[in-house]
Amino acid sequence: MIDFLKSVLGKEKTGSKNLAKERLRLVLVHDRASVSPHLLESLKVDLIQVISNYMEIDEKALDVQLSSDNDSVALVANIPVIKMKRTYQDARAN
Amino acid sequence: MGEVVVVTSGKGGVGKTTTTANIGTGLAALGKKVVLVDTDIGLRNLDVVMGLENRIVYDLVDVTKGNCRLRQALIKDKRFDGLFLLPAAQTKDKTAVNASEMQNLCESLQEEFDFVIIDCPAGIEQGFKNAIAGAHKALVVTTPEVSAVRDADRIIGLLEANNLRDPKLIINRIRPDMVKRGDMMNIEDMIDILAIELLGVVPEDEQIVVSTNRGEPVVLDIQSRAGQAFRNIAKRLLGEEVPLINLERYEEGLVNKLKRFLGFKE
Amino acid sequence: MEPVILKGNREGIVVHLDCNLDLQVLAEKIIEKFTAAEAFLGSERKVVINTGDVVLDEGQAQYLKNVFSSLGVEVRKIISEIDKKENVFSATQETAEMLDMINSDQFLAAGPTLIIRKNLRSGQRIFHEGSIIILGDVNPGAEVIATGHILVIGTLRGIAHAGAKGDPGAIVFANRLQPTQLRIGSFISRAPDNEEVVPVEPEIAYIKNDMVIIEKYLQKK
Repeated sequence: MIDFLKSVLGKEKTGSKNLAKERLRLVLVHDRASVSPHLLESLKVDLIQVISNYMEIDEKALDVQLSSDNDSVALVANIPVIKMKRTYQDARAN
Repeated sequence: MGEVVVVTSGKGGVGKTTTTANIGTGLAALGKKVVLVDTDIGLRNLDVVMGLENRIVYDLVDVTKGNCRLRQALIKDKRFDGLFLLPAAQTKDKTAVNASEMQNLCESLQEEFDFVIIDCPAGIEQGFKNAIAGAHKALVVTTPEVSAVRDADRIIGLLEANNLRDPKLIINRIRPDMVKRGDMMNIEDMIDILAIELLGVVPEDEQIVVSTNRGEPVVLDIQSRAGQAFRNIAKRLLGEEVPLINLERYEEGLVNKLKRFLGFKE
Repeated sequence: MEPVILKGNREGIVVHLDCNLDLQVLAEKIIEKFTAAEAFLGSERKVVINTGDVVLDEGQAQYLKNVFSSLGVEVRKIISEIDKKENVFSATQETAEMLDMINSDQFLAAGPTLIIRKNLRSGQRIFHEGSIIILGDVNPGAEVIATGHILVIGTLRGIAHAGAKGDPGAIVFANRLQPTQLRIGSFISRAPDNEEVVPVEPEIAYIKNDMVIIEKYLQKK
């Protein structure tokens, strides 16, 4: 209902400005931290590799971002876990 | 002693020269003694926007190289006695001047003028470094486009790195109709991202093209919305508190008020 | 344009310089280039300098020669595109009559004439000792400076300075004469404000009673 009203009243969903703002925000975080999207991509691949040793994760939904708060930049990773892996030794014992 | 203000943007085509011409003319109209300095060597335009191109004999490079005295190169405006232009050289390139020469120039100009307004070239190379070398204060011009805001952010960083703290933002060419539709970033969006103080907002206005064609700054056109915005900016530079004009405040329109009333305005 | 370009031809090495740059800056570029191109040069220690569209005065030429000699390089001669034979001719009686100058002797006295077969665009500057004939337009922001006369077989919208060494007898002719500024000898003039005149036929400008006069060329005939 609220979404409906929002779309009637504010048209937030239809305009392209939010897209612009979001893209800009991302680009600027990278600019300010001088980190290239390429570097972030390879970080993502490495993260998946390491984490997969311990748990099963939803690789497609994995989201790694640099976020800035005032003048500091933080690495924020959102990694949906599907299930924990048992250790290799346990697996062999089964 | 006068104030040296550099007008910059990073990206080209966002309206630095138009802004310089109009703020300068606006200040002169308020009785201040103003000199406009075009530092875009090789691509000068401020002379054309001011309608003074046919008066140029000497230029910035002639002054810094000692080919003429500073006085000789200053072109008096045709409208205001207190307004002057120091044109850029057209047949040289940006390396013809260096930062310390610019600094000296700004020092001599500020002795005589209330405001020295410097039109900076696009880019972040030598021309930019020259333009900011003698400045006390920086104005950053942007338009509500992703590319322009990104470049403005870069420029703000560079200004701060060069000890030009607290640059002020001018948002140019905003289109209230597009903002209303949600197809253009609004003022809050840009302030939110760039996190600097807003000096003014100039709406898109066809009159700008007409006034540039004529070589008459739009700030002198009483009818023009952009002209009103520039008049306000000039007053704010003098420390006057002038509220944003109605056009600049469209986001406080009916829709937002209603949303706030209903309780789900973010 | 690259400020310093090295080219070899039958006569040896030609150094093309962008003399629109500040000479000190240019000197740095030359030193940079020659240090990097040590291997290319080998034992060749004599060069010809080509200054492109710019003609250097004596002081400037000497300055550049000193820069080169500090690198152990001898400058055999300095040329410019403007000196090239095909572009310069001596005005004959016929040229003068054809152009119907105020005074043909005067035109002949102005020295060798440079012919330019292109449009001059904003930022371009031509200087020549003698008269200049341009077969093309001179756009706003371009400058044509001649110690003699200037004839533009096209539209003159930029700046023209005839008689640049102080000759008040120099003239400026253009098929369409609408210059940003017109300078003759030591006179500098511009069109009056708020008066837009679009010429429809060839005009000629000269000085009479200490004023720059512009009149229809055909009346002079």
